[in-house]
Amino acid sequence: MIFLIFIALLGGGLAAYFHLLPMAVTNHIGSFSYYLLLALQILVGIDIGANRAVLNQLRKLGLRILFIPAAIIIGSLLGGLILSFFIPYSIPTALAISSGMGYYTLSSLILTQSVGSSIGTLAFLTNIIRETLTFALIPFLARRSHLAPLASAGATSMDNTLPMIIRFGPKSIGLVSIISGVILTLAVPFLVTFFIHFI
Amino acid sequence: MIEVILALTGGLVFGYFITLKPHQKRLLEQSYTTVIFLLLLSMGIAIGLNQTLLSNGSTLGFYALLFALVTILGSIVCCMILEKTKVIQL
Repeated sequence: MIFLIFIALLGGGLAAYFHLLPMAVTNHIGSFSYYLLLALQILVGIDIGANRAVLNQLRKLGLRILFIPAAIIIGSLLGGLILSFFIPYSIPTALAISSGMGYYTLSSLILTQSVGSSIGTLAFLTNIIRETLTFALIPFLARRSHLAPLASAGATSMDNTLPMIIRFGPKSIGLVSIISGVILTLAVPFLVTFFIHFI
Repeated sequence: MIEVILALTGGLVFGYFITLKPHQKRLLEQSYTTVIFLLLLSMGIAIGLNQTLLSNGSTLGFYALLFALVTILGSIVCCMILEKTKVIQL
């Protein structure tokens, strides 16, 4: 599976970079991946819905589940804060970039409009790299900790990286992953706009 | 975005009212793996086609990689604290 991940990412990347793909493919790649994502969501939904143990798990955890997205936000911001002392970006800028949680369309859009295209592009790249690294890291992380894949995935744990998280995690991880991802996705616009005020 | 949530909810409701037989479960897992592979392939293609990503590769890409690494690491550390202190047990 890990081998397949690298083949798919690298093969697709190189094929596109060296213009080996027909226009029909490259022009529609955005909508193509969107439909794939929808198909995945349906499969993921069926898998979780058919699993009674998941609901019991959720009942057992209760409101404590909110600690997970909270820990993910605090961790990302702490990481960005520490990094800001070593790079030529101010603390609020670094925190705004770190607030993306892998949600690359939204945070980079907000930052491009209110701060500038350079910071916006940096946020975009940061989040897309976070998602790509997460894809590659999940198989390794899942062996050491149940929550580590969710932490790495951030907001993407509700959609793009969810199938991988389920594939390598314990049975109960699916719904927890979605809930954490949904909360983080909702938190991103608030966090980013908050830190922009201080830039 | 609405479609994504609808697809997920639709699947959830459908899954809740059915019981999967072992061979159907296998089929579900195989379709999973296939769709993941296709999704990663299209993600690779999207990155290969992205001019912003490639032309700013050296400087911005370096800082972006640093940001991605520290945010991932920070979040993992905080979540592992939750696990080690047994606040969250899965």
